[in-house]
Amino acid sequence: MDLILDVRNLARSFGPKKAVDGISFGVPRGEIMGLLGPNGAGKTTAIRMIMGILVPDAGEISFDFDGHPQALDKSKIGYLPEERGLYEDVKVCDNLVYLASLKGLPAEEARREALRWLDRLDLGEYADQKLEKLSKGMQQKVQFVASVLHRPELVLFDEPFAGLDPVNQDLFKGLIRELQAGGTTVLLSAHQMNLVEELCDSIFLINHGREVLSGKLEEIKESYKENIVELRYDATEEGDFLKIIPGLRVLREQPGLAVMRYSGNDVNALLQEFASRLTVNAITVEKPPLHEIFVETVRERGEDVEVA
Amino acid sequence: MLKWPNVKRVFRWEFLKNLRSPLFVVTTLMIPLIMLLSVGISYYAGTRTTQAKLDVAVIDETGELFPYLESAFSSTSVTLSLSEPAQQERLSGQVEEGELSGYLIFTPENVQTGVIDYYVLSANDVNVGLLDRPVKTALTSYRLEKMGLTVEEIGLATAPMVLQPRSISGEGISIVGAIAPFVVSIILLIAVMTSGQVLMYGVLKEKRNRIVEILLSSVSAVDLLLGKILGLGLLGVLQIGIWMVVGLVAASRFIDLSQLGMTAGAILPMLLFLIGGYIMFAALFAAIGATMKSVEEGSQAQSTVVLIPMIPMFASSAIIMSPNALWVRICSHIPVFTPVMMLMRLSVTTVPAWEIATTFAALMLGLVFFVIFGARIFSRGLLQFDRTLSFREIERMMRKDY
Repeated sequence: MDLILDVRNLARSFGPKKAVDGISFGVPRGEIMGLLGPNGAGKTTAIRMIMGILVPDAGEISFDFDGHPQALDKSKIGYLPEERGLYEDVKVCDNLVYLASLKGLPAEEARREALRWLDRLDLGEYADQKLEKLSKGMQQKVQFVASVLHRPELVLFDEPFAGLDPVNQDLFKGLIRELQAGGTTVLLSAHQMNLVEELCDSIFLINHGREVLSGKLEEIKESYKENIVELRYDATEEGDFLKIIPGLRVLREQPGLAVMRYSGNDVNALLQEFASRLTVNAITVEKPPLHEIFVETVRERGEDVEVA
Repeated sequence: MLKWPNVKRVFRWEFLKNLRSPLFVVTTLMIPLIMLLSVGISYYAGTRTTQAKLDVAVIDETGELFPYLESAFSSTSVTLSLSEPAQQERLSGQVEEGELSGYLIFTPENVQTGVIDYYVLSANDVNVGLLDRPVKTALTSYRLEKMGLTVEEIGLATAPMVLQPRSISGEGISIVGAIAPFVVSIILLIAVMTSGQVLMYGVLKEKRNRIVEILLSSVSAVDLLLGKILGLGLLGVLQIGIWMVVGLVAASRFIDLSQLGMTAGAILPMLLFLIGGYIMFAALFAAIGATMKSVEEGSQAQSTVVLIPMIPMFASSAIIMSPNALWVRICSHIPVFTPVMMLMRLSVTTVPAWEIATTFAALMLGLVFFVIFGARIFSRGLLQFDRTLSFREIERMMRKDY
């Protein structure tokens, strides 16, 4: 596989606590990969090690920007940290130009790109205002621009949706998709799995610093044996028989509606059973959301879910 | 590994950003303004006192002293008039009306004790400076003549005396020449400490507003630290330059600047100690800034560290009195004391070349230590956003590769 970032056996402790405990994964070029897990699972520590901000205790991190494995080149990577911040007493545009210049972009080009991005996000009129004059939402947009202004080949977003209102969440999702369409590879971390699973091509689920699941999102969902079944039927009919079908567990029930979890193999047989006993109005069968898969998998291993 | 282009970018940014900051503009302009103002006020006050005209009445119960007084006051701006003892009440009235500045009473007793009463309206009208010396001269002459000396003998006995310090080569030494380098070195030192503290609070601010992690995603902690130290250092040099120019222009009004006698040979070692000291303390201050959560929550111990370089200042009078004493020479080799002690010693005495070399070597050792470990604490402390680090944690950070 063509990997732009390859992480092998990465580990890092803080005192007795193992924040990251021997994880390995690769980020395929041009894809969006999600590093997902609850707060305190080790996502930020892993990302800081990839960015060279923290030194790992063990493991290897290698990049491949031009066909050859190489060490970290910060100028080719964009980074949006979880802990956001810019110079509040400095003009918006000057903030962006300075940060881009640290990535090696010439000042003139940086200024041009900054103004283009600000216009694109309806912030053009604030370019010469001090950052502190902007609302929190606007500042978050500026922060996003700062991470991608120098046209990086790989961008690391650490909790990009934290603190965003739903409108800006959608905006950021759109921007991340645009970056991918433009050829940028994205590694994003998030604890709100349901929010990002639709964005990701592949995922790496982490808990207590260790891998829980990883791979293509579709494959993970497909290989997960259970389905969520939502059945709508004529409310005058009795649905008691649902409780005795092998492999079927009723989660929620009311006249004319049942939401169930099915762990059997034969979905077709199940549907036929419903049709033969009830007047079915609507039926959906789908894999459970990623968050549930995560929690179930962790539970099956006898572990608890980390909460920071 | 250092990346100079990054150091240069950080340096440029820090210099320009702080150059435009209100704090820099205010301190750079206000301090010379205060200097000029205080020089102006003392000059004005000085000329006013010496030019003041006084009308003073004298009640001379000895009946002999007044001619001595007249002669002593002859070349001053004080006009004396003789009054009778019975007129004291009338004189008080005249003082109250403003017709007289005050009156002096000489009795046979107080001429002996030397405690003379001077009656005035309020403390503001005392002007002792104008009366003191002539009254003393008159009393001395009077007493000596009473002892039987002739006018010539009195002249010989009261001839003025001046202590003229000379170096062993025979040249005259001026007090201005001896004190000025010391004053200059103290000013430089204060400017250096100020730059170091601006750096510390700058680091703290970047940590508090969280930009530091973004910076570290582009440059290494050492690049960042060095760029900051150099940027603020140059700013400090600029500030000192402005202060010095204003200070020298103001000083040239009163003293002959050629007396300063600071040759390039004398200045060079001072500059080396100053620059070395700045880099060492700047690294230390930046590291301290990185371990604090906020100015308010920086622990007492951390705030105390900021005072360490100033410790020799408390012993400054002892150091100046005996700049080559054994304890001074030993303490000069303790890196945190070296810059301040050597600046003081170099400004008041000749320090042997070998000792300049050994103290400078000690300073360089300290500098390397502080820059390496300062950078380590700096890079690790920066990401501890929500708390002030304990000394135990700092010590752990210094040992392990973060």
